Order: sequence, then structure tokens, then C-alpha cells
Amino acid sequence: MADGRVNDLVNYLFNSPGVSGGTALQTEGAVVQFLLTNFRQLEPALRQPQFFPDRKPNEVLALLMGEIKRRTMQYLSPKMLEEINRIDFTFLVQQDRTGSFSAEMFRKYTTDFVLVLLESTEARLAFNASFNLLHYKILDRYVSEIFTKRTPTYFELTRVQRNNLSAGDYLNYLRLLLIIRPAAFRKVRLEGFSESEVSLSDFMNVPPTMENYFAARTKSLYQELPGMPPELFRMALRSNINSAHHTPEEASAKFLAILCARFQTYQENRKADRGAETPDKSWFSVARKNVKHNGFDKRMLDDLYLIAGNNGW
Amino acid sequence: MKNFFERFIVLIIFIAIAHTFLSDFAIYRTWPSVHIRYLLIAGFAIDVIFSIEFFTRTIAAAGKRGGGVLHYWLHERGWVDFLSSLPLLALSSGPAMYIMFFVPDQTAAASLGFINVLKVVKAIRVTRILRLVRIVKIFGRIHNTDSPMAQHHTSYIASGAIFAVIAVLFAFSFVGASHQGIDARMQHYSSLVRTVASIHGADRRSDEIIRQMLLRDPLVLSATKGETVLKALAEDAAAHHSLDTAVEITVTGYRVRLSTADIESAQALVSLQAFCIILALSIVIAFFYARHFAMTITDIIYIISKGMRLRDYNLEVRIPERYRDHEVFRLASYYNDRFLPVKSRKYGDGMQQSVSLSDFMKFTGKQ
Repeated sequence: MADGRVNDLVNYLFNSPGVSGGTALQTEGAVVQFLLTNFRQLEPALRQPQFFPDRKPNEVLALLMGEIKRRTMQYLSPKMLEEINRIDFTFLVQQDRTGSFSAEMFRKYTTDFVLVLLESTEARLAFNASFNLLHYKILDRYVSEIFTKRTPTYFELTRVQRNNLSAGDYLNYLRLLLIIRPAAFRKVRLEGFSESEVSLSDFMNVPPTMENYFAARTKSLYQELPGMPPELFRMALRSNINSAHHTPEEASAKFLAILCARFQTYQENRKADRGAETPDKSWFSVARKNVKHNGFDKRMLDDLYLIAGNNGW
Repeated sequence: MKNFFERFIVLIIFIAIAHTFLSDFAIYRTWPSVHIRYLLIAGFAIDVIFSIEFFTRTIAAAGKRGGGVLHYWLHERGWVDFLSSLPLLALSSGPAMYIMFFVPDQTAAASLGFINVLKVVKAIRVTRILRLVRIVKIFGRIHNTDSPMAQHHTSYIASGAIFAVIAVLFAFSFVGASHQGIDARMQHYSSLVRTVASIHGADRRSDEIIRQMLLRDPLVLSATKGETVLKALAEDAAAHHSLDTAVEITVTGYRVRLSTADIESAQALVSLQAFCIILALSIVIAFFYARHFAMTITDIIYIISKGMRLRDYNLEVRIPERYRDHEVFRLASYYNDRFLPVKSRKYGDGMQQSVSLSDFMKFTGKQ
């Protein structure tokens, strides 16, 4: 009986006007935030006979959160697995000097890793931008444009970062970074760093500790994704912070930091009003003007602004 | 009901515009008089409908607060509704219908000078021009842009331009070549008949000379003297001439009916040109100017206003290089370069999603 009520309630929350039009993860984020912020005020209403008169508030909250998670997972998991299947792991096999890992092994490790990651609410919600970039093929179109036109970002990504990947391999590399980057928000105990479970959110405003966190988390990721180069973890984790903390060689992290900020929210097929610039061009333009505040790489923003403008994105 | 009424009026406006064109075209191409009669009846029906519309709107406006009838006249195009209804009904289609249905011998009416009197005051011809005012009515009814501001300004400029053209046509209709031509023709034949009659006296010889003179003249439709028919009205001529395209003169006992179809046809061509000028002007204003106005003014204001009202709306205004120095684009430039960056810093970029507590309470109340 309680299942029906939970279902009705979550149905209402997922379809309420304030959250319509967003992606699944945005909706989940808004609903979770609403419940956590307002649960005290909701308690009397939820204790009414038609809802959960016999249950304790914490139990009700757990029931609701469980249902919310189930729904998002039901939608998200198969789609994320599809995205993992699109990645060609050969570039990792070529970098593996031991010769003990195959592309299929890397795929399996990544799949298991993502399923664990999605179980954590914080990490799942942090998947939003990655999911948008992967699922709507946004990353593909920007990378393709950068590599085809050899824009300044191309030189930044290939020469400055000194990787020798082809466009296709580089795209696979970035896809993998996007899948790993939300790991920074999953609370884990890091050996030699913290006794309690921590995530990047705890150190976001403390740069020196943040650097230590990245080092510790990079080590721990190697346990979860064996055979992958630590450099890849470092780049993925550091794409969660702005360019002010990046070294010049971390071009991919700078690039993904910008794209993830832009596509944190995304509305598919959103058309610009007549007389307005397109959504991407507008966003990059505003970000260029706010470069001192957002800490993004100015040259990359200029480049992305031009790409978006030239392509009507 | 109100929607039905408005849609019906829009339909009638389009029919009236087509009717205006056809009425002149029929005279220009000298359509059979039976067709012209149908057009006359249709014109009367249209005038009646627009008169009812005018009265209905006036009565409705009188019942409203805030200006009432005066507001309707000045700001809701009451003057357009008036000019395109009552004067036409009273001075053009109404009298024509009266003659058609209540005067059995229309030639007799003509002989009484009824039509000629009207032609002297030139009321029919002058009021006909007012039919073109109906094109202005479209602008009040058809919304070719979502912006009320664009709608208002387009409609304002269209009314001004069209009314200026109509006013010029109206003024020129008093000195129009058509009347002069008809008067000249009437005078010419009057003096011809009078001269022959004065030379030969009122006898059979003068009848014969006049008969011979008029018989071969294609402009003379018929001629009689008392009961004697000097020239009978040919079937073909009767079919193609109506009250609009014939005049009658009575000189020393001779009644001569003259065709004015050639003069009317030339005049109809001028009217068609005026109609086309006004229609073209309307199309240019409604489609090209309205679009230009929207793209260079209202769209920009709409985007800026949306960006200021909605927290998650962050699209910039596109500023074409050639309009960069226009005031509205200068404002847009400020919005793009100052307002949006500050807004982005304050509120973030994306869509702000949230569930409303009051909505949730409403939901729990319903269960």
C-alpha cells in the first residue's frame, strides 16, 4: 500500500511544473533538494491518514529517496552503459606496457565502476554534465570541429598537453574522463589522507588540501580501474575545478571544465528566440566576459565561442 | 461567441476586399449587367453587415468604462469602422438597391434625374473610394506578429499611409476626368440634337435626320421622341449596360440614352490601380515593414525583458553590425556586455529547477 503512495508522491514531484523540461538528473537534483530542504514542513502533511500515518519521518524520507533513486537509475544506467559501449578502449591497450589488459577488460572495469558510482547520490548528480555531453553527442561535435578546423584549442590539446592521440582516440579519451570525473564527488575513505569518508566538495575552497585530495583519490581510483594511467585519473578529477588551479599541460581538464560548466543544464532542441544569439554562443560569450570570475581558460572560451557561432549552436 | 463574431468579420473583410476589386473589374471589362447587379446586391449585404458591426461595437463601447465610445472611435478604429460602413450604405449601395427593387422603370428614374442628381453631387463615386478603407480594417483584426507593440505601430503606419492615399483619391474624385467626360458627352449630344431640331424645326424631317445620325453611333443606346422609337435598345447593349454605364438626355422632346461604358471603364482602371496601390502598400507594411520592425525593435526588447524577468534566461541579443549605432541595439549591447555577465555571476547560468512547497501542499490536500 505504501508503495502506491510513494509512487504517487514521487510521480507528482517528478512532474511538477517547476522541474519540467530538465534532464533526468536535474529533475532528481531538484526533487532531492526540495525534500531535504523542506522535509520538516512536509512532515505534518505526510502524516495524514491518506499518506504514511504509521511510519517515522526518517523512514518516509528513505522510502521517497529510494524511489527517486530507483527511477533515475532505471533511466540512467542503461544509457550510461550504452555510452561506455561507444568507447573504444584500444588507445588504453596501446599505452599499457605490461600487456596484461585488453579493451574488453577495460570496458568491464569501467562498467562496474560506473554502476558503483551511480549508487552514490552525490556522484550520480555530478554525472549531469557528463551525461549531457555524452548522451546528446555534444562532446563529439565540438571535438570533431576542433580537430577538423585545427582551431587554437586543437594545438592546446595536442601540443601543449603533448598527447599523440588521433581525433578518434582523443574523443574516446575525453569520454572516459567524463565518466571518471564524477568520482571526485563520491564519498570514500582515502588511505593515508582521511579517516572518514570524504569527497572533493569538502576541499573545494582549500587549494593545498585539494591537491593532496587529488593525489590520494588518484591512487584509490587505480584500485577501482586497474591498468589505466594515473595521469588519466588526475586529468578527470582536476576537470572539476577551474583553470586558475590548472597547469598549462592540463589542457583536457581545462577544456572539460568549460564544457561541463556550460552543459550542466541542457535543453535538447531548444531554439533561440528570434533576434537572440544561440544558447551555446550566448553562454560562451558571457563566460568570456566573466573570465576573471569563473577562472576558465580565455583562449579556449574564445575558440568555443567562435565554433558555436560558426555552427549556429 | 465573441471569437466567432471576430472571425466572421475577418472573413467578411476579405470578401469585401475581393468584392471591391471585382466591382471595378466588372465595369472595366464591361461584364453583363446581370453580374453587375449581383455585385451590387453583394455590396449592399456587405455594407449592411459592416453597419451592424459598427453599431454593435459602438453600443458595446458605450457600456464599457474608461472612455467608452470616444475610446472606440479614437483608439480602436471606430472611425475606420464608421467610414467603411454607414456612408457607403446610405449613399452608394442603399440608393442603388432602392432603384433596383423599388423603381420599376429605371429609365424613368433616370429621366427624373435621380441618378443624374446623384452624379451631380458625385456622392456615389466619392463614397465608393471609402470601400478601400476596409483594407485598413485588416490591420486591426489580423495579428501577423506576436508583439502588441509591432502590431500597434504597423497598424498605425498602415492606417496613416492608406488613409493619405484615400484622401488624395477622394479629393481628386471631385475634379475627376470621368465626370468631365460624361458631362461633355451629354452636352455634345444635347447640342447636336438641339441644333438639328432648331435648323429643321420639330417635324418629321428633323426626326429622320436625327434618327440617321444616331442610328450608326455606337455610343447612342436608344432614342425616342414621344411614342416614336428612333433607335431601339439592342439586346446586346441592354445586357451590357446598367445604370452605372449609361446616361439619358432629354432635349426638345427627344430622349437619348447614351453609353458611358468607355468612360466608366477607363475610370474603373484608375480605381483598380488605386486598389492595387493600396493593397501593395498594405502587403509591404504588413509583411516587410512589420517584420523589419519586429527584428530591429520589438524582438530586441522582448529578449532584454525576458532576460531581466527570468532568472534562467541568458541568451544574448544578436547585434547586426549595420544597426550597432541604433539606440535599441546600444541598449542591447549594454544588456549583453554588462547585465548578463553580472546576472550570471549572481545567479549562475542554468535552468533553476525547483518544486514549489505550495504546489506540493495543494497536492497533498487533494489526496
